[in-house]
Amino acid sequence: MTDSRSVEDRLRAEYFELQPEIRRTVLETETRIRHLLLPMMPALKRDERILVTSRVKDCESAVDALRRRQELGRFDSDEPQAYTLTTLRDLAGVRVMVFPRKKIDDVHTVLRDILNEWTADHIPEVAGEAEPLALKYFGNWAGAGRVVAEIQIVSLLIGLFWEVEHSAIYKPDPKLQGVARSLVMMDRRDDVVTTLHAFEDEFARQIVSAEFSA
Amino acid sequence: MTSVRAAKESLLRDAGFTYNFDRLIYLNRARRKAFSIEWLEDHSEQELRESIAAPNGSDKWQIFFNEKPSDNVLREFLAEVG
Repeated sequence: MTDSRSVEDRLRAEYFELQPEIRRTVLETETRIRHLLLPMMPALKRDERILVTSRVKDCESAVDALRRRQELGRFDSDEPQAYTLTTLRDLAGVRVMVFPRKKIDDVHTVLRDILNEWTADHIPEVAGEAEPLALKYFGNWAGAGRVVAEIQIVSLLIGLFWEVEHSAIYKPDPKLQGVARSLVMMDRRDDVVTTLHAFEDEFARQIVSAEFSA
Repeated sequence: MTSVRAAKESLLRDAGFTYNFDRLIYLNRARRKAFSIEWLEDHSEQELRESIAAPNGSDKWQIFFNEKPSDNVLREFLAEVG
């Protein structure tokens, strides 16, 4: 019998097949990360923060993310078997948000044992900055099957900006993510990043100078 | 200082291109020419300037991609843009 479902419907069915695996992967990834970071927590100064968040990519976001990867933003309905959600690297995602950003190196070092086994795919910095904007890795745990997970380590302010940007602007309609890919919108986003970095760096300077003068 | 992206956007707007965020492409129906986001990110301002200026010698759409989509997807897009 021929399968008359649309590419999107086939992918939705695949998503619900994968969903228990995605949930397990998120839980395992978050638990391993929290376990490794636990010894760092009591030593944090009062201005320092390490927040760990996780999410299971929802069905429509996953289908839409795969659609946006295709040229002209469409699936070829004649080739439904050419698409699978398992090619997405962030069905399961864990983000470690760090303040101030100089502590990213410490977190990275602590997580290195697990990240060494994964593939680095860092998010490039905006012009004029040497370090990546966020450290990003993808991979999967032994026995985790087809689900690939993503781990990000990013400055707290940038991570929270991404959350606001995502929930306020794109969440109502994932297709709006296409707006963010326009050339000028990418520039405006870089402006926000530059401003947040300047804010964060000045805050860190103030803390250091306060410590010296105390 | 104008960024490379802003300079490209300005070239496109001045030449009458608009951004279609659903298709992730800049297009100009009168000139029957379009540029995908991926192509724009990977090519210089000068290459864009030359590609905008190059005459479209036919009434067919001239579309600049990094990777050509399948005939089916292309046909659907052309039917949509007219």
